[in-house]
This record gives sequence, structure tokens and C-alpha cells, in this order.
Amino acid sequence: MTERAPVMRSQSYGALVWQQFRRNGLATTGLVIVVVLFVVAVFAPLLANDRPLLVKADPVRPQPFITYHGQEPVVRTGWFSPAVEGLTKTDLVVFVAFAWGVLEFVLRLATVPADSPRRRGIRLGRGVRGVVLWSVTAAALVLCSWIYLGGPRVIDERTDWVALVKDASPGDVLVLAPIPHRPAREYDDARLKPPGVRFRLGTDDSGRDVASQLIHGARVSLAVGFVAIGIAVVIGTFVGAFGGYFGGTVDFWAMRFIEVMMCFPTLFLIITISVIVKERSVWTVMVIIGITGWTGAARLVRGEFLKQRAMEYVTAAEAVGDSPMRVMFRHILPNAVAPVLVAATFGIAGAVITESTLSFLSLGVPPEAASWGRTLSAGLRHVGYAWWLATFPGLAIFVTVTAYNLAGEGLRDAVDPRMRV
Amino acid sequence: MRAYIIRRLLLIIPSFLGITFIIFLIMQFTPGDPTRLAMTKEGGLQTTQSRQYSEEMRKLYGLDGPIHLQYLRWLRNICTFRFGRSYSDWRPIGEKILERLPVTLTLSILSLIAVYVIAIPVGVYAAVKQNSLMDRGITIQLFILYSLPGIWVGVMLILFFAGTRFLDWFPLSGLHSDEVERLAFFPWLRDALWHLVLPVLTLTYGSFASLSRYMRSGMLEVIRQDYIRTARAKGLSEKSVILKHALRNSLIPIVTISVMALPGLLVGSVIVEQIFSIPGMGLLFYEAAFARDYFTVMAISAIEAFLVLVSLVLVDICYAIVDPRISYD
Repeated sequence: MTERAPVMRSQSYGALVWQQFRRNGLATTGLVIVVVLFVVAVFAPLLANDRPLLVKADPVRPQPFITYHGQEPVVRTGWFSPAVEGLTKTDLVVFVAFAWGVLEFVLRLATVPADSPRRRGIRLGRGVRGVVLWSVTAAALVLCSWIYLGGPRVIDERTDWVALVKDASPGDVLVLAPIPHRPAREYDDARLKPPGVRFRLGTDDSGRDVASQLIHGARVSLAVGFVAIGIAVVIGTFVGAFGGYFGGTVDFWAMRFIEVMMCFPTLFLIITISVIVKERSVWTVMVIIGITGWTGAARLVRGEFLKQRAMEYVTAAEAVGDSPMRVMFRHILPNAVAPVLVAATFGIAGAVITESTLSFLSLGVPPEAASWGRTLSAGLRHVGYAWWLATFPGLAIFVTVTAYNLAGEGLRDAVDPRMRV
Repeated sequence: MRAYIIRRLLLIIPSFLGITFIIFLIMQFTPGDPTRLAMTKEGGLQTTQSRQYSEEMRKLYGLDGPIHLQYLRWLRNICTFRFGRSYSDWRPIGEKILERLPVTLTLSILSLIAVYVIAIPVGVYAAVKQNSLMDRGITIQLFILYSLPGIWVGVMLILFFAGTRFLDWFPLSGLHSDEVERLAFFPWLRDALWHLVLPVLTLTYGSFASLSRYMRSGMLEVIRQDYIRTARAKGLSEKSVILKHALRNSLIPIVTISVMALPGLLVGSVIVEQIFSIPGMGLLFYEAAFARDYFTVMAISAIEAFLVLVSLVLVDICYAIVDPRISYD
């Protein structure tokens, strides 16, 4: 070469994929919808709750503002937040995890490692970044445990928030949640009410608010999607990695195992398992979907491992004396992870459908948990006139599935342009 | 190649053993003794009597003796099509399955025909007119159809077309109207078809969308090949290039999907049969699972799994026959 080659600024694989992904308008839309759904799911207890978000009891009320604390009536004065008091442990864990994720994301976007050649962004040493991340998370944890442990916790269902809100005196300050109903609350006076001012999306046959059920259903749906596919990907990666890396007899038996699992129609297997499992919870549904849905990931990982095993870097790693486990999971897996991620994105869409289908067949999450599929099955029962019961939950499932599929297609195209359909 | 096919066929055996073993294990882990369950259905008996009765039932079903013997006995029965009797109504399971089979077959064959008749032309058309306005429209529509959840489509179809609220075009559920036996053949057929429209539509749209998408991408792949350029260069008409040279080759991946659709034909769709209350195999399975009618569940699972297994093998063999480029050692 006579000319000097231009200095290539190296870009990480992730950054390249992200760049490609961003160019795809539909995929970006899908991702935005997914993020919005995520936020809705995380903050469901603050979005749809019959407990007011913020209350200031009027000091000169004719009757005192009474809430129940356990069995004891408590007279409340000053500012307080019934919605926050009513949060469960799970809610708080979800909030902390969410805060951690957002912070991690923001730090990643806004800062560059001190040793990086890039100019833009706040220069922050890796250690400092870690300290910031963990200290803020710790602060969130402390705050949440303070909320949880300190202050009067009004989890007793005896307090009738709806009545309290109705009887508010003019001097009270009340900030209601956007949807002032909780999903399980059954209004006896409002069964099968069409959408209106009081119930934005109507009520079902037991008088439960549909909008509130949809918001809380998003939680169940997304949680099931993520955890189930997480389980599936882990199992699939192990089986596929072992089969693809070791080959021979191991591969033969891994393939037989995959084949056996593939032969069960997933829905049949799931129905059989859900019927025999004694106490169904959201977790059993996750596990059931996870352990029945890993074959696709396993085949992908196996194919990818077969391809990568012939590469020189693998031979090099083996020559250096790395153990098979190290070669598999330290060297090959990072190179094989892209197609699995794509498959996982589509898998979440599939899991959301499976979960709602199971709940639709009344085999899914227990009755006390809100679920899109369950609301939809009420829609089928009253299909003659309660159109809102059939329309809105289905729409929620559809939008979620479409968003994941769009994001998945965008990711697939970004990861491997040859796979573009 | 013959060696490959034989080897592939022989591989069915360990897989089938594995499948049946898993089915058997799942049923073994099931809480509650099935014989007891059957008894409570037939009215409470006194304890000593019932224990005796339970023992007899166990012997009858082969539930006595060690587990591996139970498994082998069940396997032998399954392989000779002796499925036993249903717990819930004491009828032979084979008879029950045969009774439901025609319903499901009608449904799935109609849907399969509909899928292929529409999907292949749509896919080919979209591929040939790639990036045209029409293609984009079709692609987006297919994407939407593909993402629509089946349960919602079924319920919405009923809501719009079978309700009193919007259009009352089609019946709400079931396969026939009341007193259908009085009708002559053609009115009877019309009535049956009338009832089948919505279920077939629900069953069809999803596979239609995915098949068209496959067809389009397969076709696009083929159109770029050199032999298509050669065919065009020879001066063949566009029609003959597409329909004769391209279409045939683009059908190869479709073979896989079609073969994989075979087991679904017999088992049908739990969802569709449940939504439209159609007494087919899917509903039989669903009801059996709910009633903990173990032998029925096991029988249907085993049949279904076996069919999928055979289809998987058929796919591999079809590939070997259809695509000579694939070599086998």
C-alpha cells in the first residue's frame, strides 16, 4: 500500500448495532412503546389505585379523616400519601430495580470512561461510575425501606378510600391517581358499565374497573414475558452450547432432547402442567412457559457454536489452556449472543400471547392477579353487549406484541443485515 | 441418501421413547390418585369397599406394580392403539377420539386450503413488486395480522359478525343449528359451512400471515439468483420466469412449514374450539385436562407428539429429496 490507511476509530459492536437500529423508524417506535409499557408496568400502583396519591386533611373538618391501621382506626392530620403507604414489598423492589436501570442507562449515555479516546460526555473513571451507581441505588433502597418500615402503613382493606374521597370536605387536598380504582375492587353498583366518566374503559361483570385491570395486567404480562424468556434462554443456551461445543455423542443426545421437547405442542404441554400444578401463581406460569419454550434458543445457540468453534480464536483459547467452560462461556458465548437476543425479543412477544391465552383459558395466573387474558375471557362471556370488555384487553395484547415484534425485526436487521426479510 | 433416510427413521425410536417417558412421568407426578377421582364421581362408597374398589381399578388400569413395568405396559398399549377408557364417562378413549376427529379435520383442512390458496399468490406478488406501494401495504398488513393474538381475533369476530350489536351474519358458536337433522343435504351443508366461517377465519389468518411472509422472503431470495437472470436473458416472458423458474425453487422452504402443519391438522386448535365451542380434538383435550382424565390426556399427547416427530423426520427427508445441494454423509 502506498497511501496510509485512514485511522479507523474503532466502534464497539453494540454501538454499531444501536446505530443501525436507530435508523429503522418502525423499530424505534416499537422500542419506544416497549419502554412506555415498561414504565406503566413499573408504576402501575401509582397510576391505577383507589388510594389517593397525596392527601392533606383539612384541620377544621367536621369529622376527622380516619383510616384503619390494622384493626385500629387512626385519625390522620397533615400531609400523607395513602398510595405510597399501600405499596407492597414487591412494588418497592421493582421501583429500586427500575431506578438502578435508569441510572445505569443515563450514566452510560452521559459519561465516558476516563481512559476512552472519545471527546463527548462527562469524563468519569470506571470506579467513580460504579460508586455513583451503587450509592444512588443504596440511597433508593434506604428510602424505600424507610417508606416501608417507618410511618403508618395502611394496608388494611377496611379503609374505604372511595367513600373517604367522596366525603372529602372543601378544605381537604386530594391528589387522586389517574385511574382512581384498584383492579380487584368490585363495585356492586356498577357491573358491566360501559366506558364513561367514572370508569374510563368500563367495568367487567363483577364490577371491576377495566382500565385499572389493564394497567396492572401490563405488569403481569411483562414480568411473565421477561422471566419466562429469561429461563428459556438460560436453558437453551446451556443445552445448545454443550451440544455445539462438544459435538459427537453430547450433541447427539442434546439434539434428541431438543427434538423430544419440540414434539410436544407447547400449548398442550402447558395446559397439562397447569392443570396438575396444585397452586398456580404468576411464578408457576413463568416457569411453565420458560421450561417449554427453550428449544428455539437451543437450536440457535448450537448452530452458532458449531460455526464459532471452527474459528481461530477458539483454537487459540484452547491452546492457551483455557478450560472448556471458559472457552464456551467466556470466549464463544459473547460472539454467539446476538441471534439469541433477537430470538428472545420475539420470544417475549410469544410469551405475552401465551400468558394471555392461558389466562383466557382460565389456566394462567390466579384469579386475584389482573391479567389481560382473563379480562378478555370476560369479554367472550358477555360478547353480546359488553364490547369494551373484548376490545381493550385485546388491544393491549396486540400493541404489546406488535411493539416487541417491531423491535425484534429492527434488532434482527441491525444485528445481521443478511437476515433481512 | 438412503442410508441417511434410514438413519433418520431409526432415530424416531429413541425420541418416541423419550416423549412417552416424559408424558408418563408428568402423569406420575400428578397429585391425587386417578382411581379415587373416578370413584368420587360415581358417588361416595364406604371406605373398605372403596379401598377394595380402588384396588380393582388400579389393577384394571395397570396402576399396580413398579413404575417401570407400568410404563412398559402403557407403552405397549399405546403402540397397539389400546388407549383404555376415559375416567369421566367410561367410554373407550379411541372411540371418543375418532368421534371428534372429523370435526377437527374439517376445520383444519378448510383452513389449510384457504391459507395456501391465498398466501402463496400474495407472497409471490409482494416479492415480484418489491418496494412498490402495494408491497409495502401488504407487508405492513401481514405484519399486523401476524401480531394479532388469536384469542382476540376470535372474540372480535364474534363481537362484530355474530352479535346482535353490530352485524348478525354468522352463528355465535357450535357446528350446526338446532334441528339440523330435518334438513336435506344441501341446506345442511350450507348450515354447516355457515357455522364454519368464523372459526376457519380465526384459524387461518395467523398461518396465512406467516406463510406469506415466508413466501415473500423466499421468493426475493430466489429472484436474485443467477439462473433467474439467465432465464430472463434467454428472453423468456416474465410470467414464465416467475411462475416456472422462480416459484418452484422458492417453494422449498415452504415444504418445511407445510409438513410441520400436519400434526396441527389432527389436533386442531384448543383456542378456536374453545372460543366457538366446537367439539373437536382440542376441546376434548382441554376438557380431559380439566377433568383430570389422565388416560385421555396421555393418549392425545402421545398421538400428537408422535405426529410431530414423524413430521420432523419428514421435513428432513423432504429437504434431502427436494434440495440436492444438501449433502449427507
